Amino acid sequence: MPIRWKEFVFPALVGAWVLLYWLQLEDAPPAARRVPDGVMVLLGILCAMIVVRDGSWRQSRAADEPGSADPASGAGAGLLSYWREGAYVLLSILYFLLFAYLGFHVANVTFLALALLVSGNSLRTVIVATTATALVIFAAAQLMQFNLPTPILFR
Amino acid sequence: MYDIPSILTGIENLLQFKTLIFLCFGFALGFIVGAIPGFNDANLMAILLPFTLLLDPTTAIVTMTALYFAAQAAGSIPAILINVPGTGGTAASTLEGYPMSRQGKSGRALGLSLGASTVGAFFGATAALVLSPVIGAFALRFGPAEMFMVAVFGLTVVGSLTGDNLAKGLVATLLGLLFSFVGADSATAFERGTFGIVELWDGLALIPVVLGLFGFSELLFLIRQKSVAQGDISFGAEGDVLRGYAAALKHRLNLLWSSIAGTAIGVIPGAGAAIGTFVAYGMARQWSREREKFGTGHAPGLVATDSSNNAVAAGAVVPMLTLGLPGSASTTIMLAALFLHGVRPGPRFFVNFQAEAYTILFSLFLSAALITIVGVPAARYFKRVAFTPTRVLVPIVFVLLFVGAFAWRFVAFDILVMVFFGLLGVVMKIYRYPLPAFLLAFILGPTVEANYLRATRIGGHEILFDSSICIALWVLSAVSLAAPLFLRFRSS
Repeated sequence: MPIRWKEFVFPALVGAWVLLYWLQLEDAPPAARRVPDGVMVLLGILCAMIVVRDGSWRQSRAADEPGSADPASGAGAGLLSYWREGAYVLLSILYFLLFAYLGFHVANVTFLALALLVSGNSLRTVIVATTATALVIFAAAQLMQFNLPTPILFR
Repeated sequence: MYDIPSILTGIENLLQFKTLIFLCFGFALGFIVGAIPGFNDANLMAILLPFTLLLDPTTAIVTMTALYFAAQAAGSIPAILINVPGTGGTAASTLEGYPMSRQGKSGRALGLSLGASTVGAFFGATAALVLSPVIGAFALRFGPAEMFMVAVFGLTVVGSLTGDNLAKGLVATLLGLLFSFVGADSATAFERGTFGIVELWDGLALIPVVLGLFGFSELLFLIRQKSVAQGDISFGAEGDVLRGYAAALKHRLNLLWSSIAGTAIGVIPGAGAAIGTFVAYGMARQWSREREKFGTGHAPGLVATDSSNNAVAAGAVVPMLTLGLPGSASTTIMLAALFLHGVRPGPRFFVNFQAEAYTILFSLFLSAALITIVGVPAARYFKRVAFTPTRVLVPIVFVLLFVGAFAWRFVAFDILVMVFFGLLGVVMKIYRYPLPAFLLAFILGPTVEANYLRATRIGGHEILFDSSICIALWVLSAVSLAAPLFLRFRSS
């Protein structure tokens, strides 16, 4: 019986999260863990159901479902074609780091410039769009009196 | 039940110049987004959510309501022009609308759609105005046990009906509940799911979660497309939108029954516009003398689907306001907007927020009128909007998401929270776990826990089966869980 490994991905993630959550709740007073405990038990049962049902013996039918195309299938070569999405996720984390170390406005300008380049825009579009958007956000931040933290490098 | 001074205050609040301007702005934005397939109103509402905090609660809520209502009406435009529905509820509009476009009658089809949408919207808004205070007055009998059961019912309905797989819908719901408990427990101050991260002690903020699930994840999918819409949009032969609009108004009985069906289905939390439009289409076909013409570009079919679609949208506002139970992603985000502005929908909504309630309900009428005022002249220009290049749009919207996530409480950590939930949203979309179910559970989680603990402290677990309301809600929850299984059994 062929196994559809992709159906294991989400239940596995949920399982890991539930396990971590449960470990932290081990010493909790009963009032704090009553409802989460019930939710975790139900989650465990449902995830097991999904793994057993969709991961194995219902596989042929599930494969026919429209939209069941899975980017995770065809792993190696498939993953490379998602470089742009990966770049955006990395840029998002970079945004957070730049925000913390160099400040809000530097993070905005850097993210915009890099993201526009990654998206395949010409240098002219990058400069125009980055400048215009950064200026609008700068004005909005002044107008809304953003409570911006002092960047770590300037403390 | 109908408090005249509150009604007048509600109308007065709505007719403020600033509120009207924002209502028109929200409507225009919703109309544009609704007309673009692939970027739905829920995503835009999520992105706009933090920016509404700059507005007073009434203006913010009216803007969101207009946006939501406009998107439902405009969803028919791409359904008619390119056979791709702009929103889930307009899927049935393709059945008659697209064949009409292919016959070179797209102008007439758009006119029919806008005429029917306006009538359906007015009917639904009237029903919402009449029904909401009645249901609100009934809901005042609810104690903690009933409130817990209402939340359970809402979660089972949304969990079981928003996806195509019951177990996955319930997993999404339970996961949303678990994430809603993150932070220091309100009764014991014990940390739950924080893993020592100080920023999580106050729990997860709603805005970064919404922005991540609906905005960030959607943008990651949009990167692959050249423009927001795909395919070839053509207006076809020069049509007469106005003539089509007038023709729609002649289908009086069809409009009436489709609007009734739409409103009735809209009032049921989680039933959704897709069901409402197909039911109305089925009714129109069943009762027609020209059944064989349906599916070939027959006007009564389009009138039925589009009037029902907008009646559903108005009807869905009723359970959202009176019970705090949204039935779709868009109404879930509207609920989030209300919460953020300190306006808490639920049984006491028509006691504590009467003026706000009537402002929202009357704003539905103005939005319905705008379907005609804005929609008729603007319908044919949506071809250009749908082809905005994503390579410029996506990076700019990404930055707006970061700013929105941070600006809610000025905590930089919320940017990481948004990225985390964005990635979770991507995984959930790929593996078909419904996001609205997760979000509703995340919003209702604290209510569920607090009312459960309060109710069981008062009367043990027996209290959950004591009153007739609780028993009715148990039965309805069981029915909502059994419904998808029954439907699957019937279709197989």
